[in-house]
Amino acid sequence: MRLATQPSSAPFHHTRALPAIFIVLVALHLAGHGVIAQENFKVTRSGAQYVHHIQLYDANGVLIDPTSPNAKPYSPKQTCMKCHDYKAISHGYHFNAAQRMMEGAADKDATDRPGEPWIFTDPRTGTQLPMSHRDRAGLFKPSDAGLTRFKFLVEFARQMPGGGIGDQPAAVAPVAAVEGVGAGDAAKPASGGTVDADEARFKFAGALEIDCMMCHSNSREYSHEKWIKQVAEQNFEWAPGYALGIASVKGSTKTLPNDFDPKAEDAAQKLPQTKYQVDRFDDEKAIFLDIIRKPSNNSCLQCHTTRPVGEDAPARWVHDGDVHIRAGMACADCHRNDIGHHTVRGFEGEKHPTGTPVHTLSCRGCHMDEDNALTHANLGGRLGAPKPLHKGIPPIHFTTMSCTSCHSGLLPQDKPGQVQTSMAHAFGLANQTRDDADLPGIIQPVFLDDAQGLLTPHRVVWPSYWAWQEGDKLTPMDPNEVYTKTLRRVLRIRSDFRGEASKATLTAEERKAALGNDAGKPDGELSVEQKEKLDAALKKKSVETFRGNLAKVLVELGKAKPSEKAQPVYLSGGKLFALAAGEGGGITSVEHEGARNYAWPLAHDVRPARQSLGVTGCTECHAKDSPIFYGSVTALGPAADDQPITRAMHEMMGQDIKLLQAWEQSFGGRDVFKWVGFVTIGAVALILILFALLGLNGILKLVTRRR
Amino acid sequence: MTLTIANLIEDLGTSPAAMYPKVIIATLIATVAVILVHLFISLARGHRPQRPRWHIITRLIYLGAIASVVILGVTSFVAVLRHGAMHGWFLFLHLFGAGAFVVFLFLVAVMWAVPNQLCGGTCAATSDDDLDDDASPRAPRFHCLTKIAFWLILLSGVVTAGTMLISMLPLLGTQGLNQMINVHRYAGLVLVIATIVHLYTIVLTKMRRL
Repeated sequence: MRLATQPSSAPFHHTRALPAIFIVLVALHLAGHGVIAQENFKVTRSGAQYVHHIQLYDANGVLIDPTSPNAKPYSPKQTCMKCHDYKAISHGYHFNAAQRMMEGAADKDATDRPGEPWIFTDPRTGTQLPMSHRDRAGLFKPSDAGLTRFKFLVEFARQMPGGGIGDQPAAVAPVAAVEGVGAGDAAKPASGGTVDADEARFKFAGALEIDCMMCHSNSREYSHEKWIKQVAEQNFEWAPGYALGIASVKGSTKTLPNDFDPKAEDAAQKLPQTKYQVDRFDDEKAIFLDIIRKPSNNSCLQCHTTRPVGEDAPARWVHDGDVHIRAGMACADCHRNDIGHHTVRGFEGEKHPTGTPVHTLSCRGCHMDEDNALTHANLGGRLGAPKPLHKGIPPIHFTTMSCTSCHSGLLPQDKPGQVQTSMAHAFGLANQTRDDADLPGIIQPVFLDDAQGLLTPHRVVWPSYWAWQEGDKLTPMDPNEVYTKTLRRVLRIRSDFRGEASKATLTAEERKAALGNDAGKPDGELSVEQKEKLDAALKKKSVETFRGNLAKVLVELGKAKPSEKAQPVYLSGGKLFALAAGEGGGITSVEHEGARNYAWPLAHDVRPARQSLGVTGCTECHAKDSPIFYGSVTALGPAADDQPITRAMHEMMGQDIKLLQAWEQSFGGRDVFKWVGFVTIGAVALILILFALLGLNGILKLVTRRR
Repeated sequence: MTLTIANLIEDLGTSPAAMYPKVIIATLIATVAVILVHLFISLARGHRPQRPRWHIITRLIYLGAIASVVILGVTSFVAVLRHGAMHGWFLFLHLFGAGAFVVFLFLVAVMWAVPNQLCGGTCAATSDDDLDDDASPRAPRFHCLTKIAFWLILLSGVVTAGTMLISMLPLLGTQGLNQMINVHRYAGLVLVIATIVHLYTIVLTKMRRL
């Protein structure tokens, strides 16, 4: 069976055409009402997996001849759309960030909640900007960092499945609209070029179409690493075929100038060359692609891996992973979607864009039933989900806390741990220089109320960036400009602003001040206490060095103010650093709204009941030293700071400390309370029974007497 | 009308928690209305024989019991009606009031179980200690309505406190705990209504109108 069809050349007699036209008109009418959606696409209706022996098409919809020396890269869009509704798919959650959120959705009341942002990270300038095209409070827009549509893709398409802003011609919105989505300002030119110049690069880099195979390939040959490399080479059009492993690609569009003309005579030689594995194609130029309907966990993990890091992070082999996965489930069992690819996110209160009820795909809906109502629409237990016992846990916990509070992520510790993610730390590319301290710094779990007021563990990142301050207004600077015009020139920063700007060594006098007579001892012979003293002295000097260097940079930046009132500032770790007023110079730092953290709920990995928070008793949380309320949250940022913003977890939550303490104290007498309660209520119950019997006796006597 | 009542009963069966705020308002309004009608009738009937006066300890215990029910009722009703559920300080005070309530309920039960018997022979005042010198020994200590309210207080009190005490043990699962909470809610409402009626009849008695 060939899925690709050619227009029929058979003669079409006009008398036969009338009923056909009628049928077509009726079909069009019905399709217009959504009655027979997707009737244009071939379907098998079989529950069995379709075996894809298919022909491939290039971006222009031309059948690919794999033996041709000038064979073009295959286009997932043109190939898959023969049978699948690419337009509908392109509205899906993974592709619609730059669209109006629910464009193409049947249910306009569909809900959103904060999700993991893209974090533009530039270690050279100490920049980490959480951003999204979506309208989410606390997030920057790509244009704030000078990222055009093209540059955004070069930066982040490593962990994107294509589509959205990668589609060309712009499938979702004009460039200016994309750049300005929700920002309320016009598109800003990227550094080293203009929006138009960047747009021009799509002409030879090609569109970054949705790569269906990134999720639906069942072949272990599909290489996400290859995808990342092609994106880095700006070979957007070539990435799908190369990642799929059906072709090799030589060349790069990265080195081509903005005004490169792909239609010029010699252009083909300068563009990347595709060489297909011809042995895999049959005589009809069809190839077998191992495609699955439900994406494998491996596909999801390419972009959704999280990895606790740091000294307190458990070793990977100790960690159990998600209990659902361990039980044999797949991510897509809960995070499922229809052809519209509106992937169910699984949070409580989610309203799906299709209008389909999805509440039984949330933790609570699946495990605990909705509202305890015994209607089939609200019954959980899907896929055999067990109903939790929660023995002895007061139900108030279930109305004030999310399931994830006790069951997700690592157990809370005295301090939230650092975590790295695929999206933020570009996992998937083998790299020898990866470090636990790599920017951006993200911590988890931080317990905050979610949009529904349920206490929920979150991941948190604090933005760091250079900005112009005018009154209350902060305008982020282009990191590239900050680096090239200032940091590189003034401080000779090469690759790591955080490390290089605060690099310090102790002088002999400073060492002596810290260690006294033992200053001459080699480091290896120092006691733990002495090492701590030395570390403290070094840290203090690092902070001083950093502040000194920061002052130099801010002075330099101040020489090219965009306006008279504008002041250069650096924001990091929740604070704003600025030049101190007066001749003395120096740096002042204050907590600032512009450096406020962005938090998004975490849901995985899910721990089973016996590994949950509170399983050892009430005082696991209701105690004066419990991590969930008294854990210490310290703002993370590239700036060296000896007095970082630190808050107790209950402050982050906005909890009433007196109420917390009252509850904690009440647990001291909880056993006495129970005993007194049972004894007194037991006694009253006995009195009731006794007098009920007496009353019964009286009634019997009365009846007997009357007789 | 029939349909509305049927729907109401069905809603009560399927989502008792959601219906609770409405039931609170309806029940309290109905109680006040009935009391007002009864008060009007009682006032029209003129004075009744004086009943035995209470010992100071009896008064204190009764006041303590009433106060604890007031704390429980106010914290729960206000929280439920204003916030939809009990949280924060409301819940803490509710728990605090519950501790006092179980003790006072026990004391009230021990103190008044005998004189509140509903049979004829024990309805008259029995203890000379409880009587003032000028009180008529022929007047029963409690009116029949007071006695009914008393036994209702004990019964609903046991159910209200018992459901929460059982919930504190690691015995019931989520569904069981939710059912316990629903029983607790409605038994608590009965307790409050019974206490209001009891207090009302006691006040009427003191006014010699009952």
